[in-house]
Amino acid sequence: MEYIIETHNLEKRYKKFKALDDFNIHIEKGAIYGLIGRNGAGKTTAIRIICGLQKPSKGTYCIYGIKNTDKNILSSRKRIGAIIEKPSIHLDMNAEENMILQYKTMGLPLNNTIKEILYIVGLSNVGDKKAKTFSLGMKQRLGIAIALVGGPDILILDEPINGLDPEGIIELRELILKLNREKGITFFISSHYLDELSKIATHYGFVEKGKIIKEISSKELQEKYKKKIEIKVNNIKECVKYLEEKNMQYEVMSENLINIYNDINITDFIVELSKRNCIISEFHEKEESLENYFINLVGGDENV
Amino acid sequence: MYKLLKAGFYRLRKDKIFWIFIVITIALSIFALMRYSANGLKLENLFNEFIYYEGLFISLFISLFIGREHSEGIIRNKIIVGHKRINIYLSNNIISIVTCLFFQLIYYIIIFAIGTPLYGEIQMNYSDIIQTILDTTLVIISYCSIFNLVTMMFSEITVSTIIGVIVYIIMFVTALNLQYIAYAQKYITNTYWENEEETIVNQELNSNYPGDDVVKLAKNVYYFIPQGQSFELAFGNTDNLNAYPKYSITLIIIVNVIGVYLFKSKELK
Repeated sequence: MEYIIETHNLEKRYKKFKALDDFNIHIEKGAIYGLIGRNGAGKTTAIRIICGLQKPSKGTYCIYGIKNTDKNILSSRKRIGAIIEKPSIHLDMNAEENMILQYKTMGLPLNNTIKEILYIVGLSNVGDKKAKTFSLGMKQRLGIAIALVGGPDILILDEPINGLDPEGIIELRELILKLNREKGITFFISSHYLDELSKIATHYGFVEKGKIIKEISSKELQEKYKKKIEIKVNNIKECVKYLEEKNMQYEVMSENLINIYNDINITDFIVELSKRNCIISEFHEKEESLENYFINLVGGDENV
Repeated sequence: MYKLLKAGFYRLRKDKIFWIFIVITIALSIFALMRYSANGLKLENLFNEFIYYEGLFISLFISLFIGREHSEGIIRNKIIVGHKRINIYLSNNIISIVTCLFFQLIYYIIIFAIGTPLYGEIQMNYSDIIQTILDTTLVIISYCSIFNLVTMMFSEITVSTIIGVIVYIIMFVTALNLQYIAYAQKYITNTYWENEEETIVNQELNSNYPGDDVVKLAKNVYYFIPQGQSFELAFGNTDNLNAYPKYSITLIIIVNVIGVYLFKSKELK
């Protein structure tokens, strides 16, 4: 598999503190990759390193297969747009002037794409309003518009929904999905708002104490945290036999515990099993969320 | 580099700070002319007065203009889109230099355009005027290099502004002290006046004279610090005009080499 961004045992030390430790991520083309972790887990440090703002203490990373030690890393970085912590916008300029500044910074000719990008992010009607008068959501969208200049293939967003109101969050989510689907832009998003991330991400990387402890696609994750019925029975053999006959999805968890991933008619189910001398002693309906998955993964009870 | 300069000058035109500093320069020029008329000073004492305190002016301008690049994430953005750090550092320095020379030009234009018709032509030979302007230009470039380094090293605009002012004060106080040593008199001459004629009674060795080597060293350091040259150039002292450029050029090279090295290894947030 060819990855757009990948890191190899990345390590970052600040004196004795290890902010990143054997940090390995793999981002596929077209993915919306959510980097999940607690505050201080190392998300922003990883993003800063990939964007060239900081140097790794050990390890390497590749952007489009080009190693960070290669001279050509600067040209591969031109294919990236990023917002780290807050958007890079000049507050005394209006939206269009900010866009012109970015075009000039990148040495691109001024053309109609400025209006097109502002339209995509929903800022085509803000006129001459200075960026300092924008709401946080508008500033975030202007930041994305600036990051879109030059047609990047990857957008890196660090905690993009921090401080946004519910309306702003919805707007941003829709914008990300639109850019991903219509323009094929790959997203690398760090966040600790798991519910929000679970609505858009196609892949997840869970980071804890500077280490990626699990990388998983949303499909795999859905399989894991889909709705399930957990039952405790006295005769697991008969129960399994019945489930096989009915072609149901299940997982034997222990000698008397079994998880069923299909919808069942509870009355019929109990009656059928009792006919086979299989008695159900416990019955729980469970639905696991991304948040539960993360907590189980890091094994802690601290808030994300 | 060219792209960064183009973008930088575009941002400069749109920046309030730039226009505020133009207004301040105009106000300072007019204030200098008003002092001229009140104190009966000559145009040659006045035309380069701005350089006396221009270090502070440049420190504040660069801290506020370049400092905003840090606080608004503009420098971060330049790196993300693939610009080399050396180009970012030097382009910011060039923009600061061009802008501060532009402020100086405004000052000269106002002083000469209003001062000459009102108070007569400057009584200074043209080669000295040109050499003074050239030296002043190099001092301004030195100041810009120093304060560009300070601003590029500190990401917080408040911190870089405060440190810039502190650096200026240190240069000012150091230059004042060095000036005192550099111009120390080896001999004290006792004289008396009679019938409007000065008669030397005797000459004795100054017991506070620090010694020839110390004076020589103090003079070198005094000229090396831009504020030292600023004192000389502002007072219209034409004795060492040809010597100043070598000090300025050395300082500009050293400061920029150090600045580029430090900025290349700086961890940005």
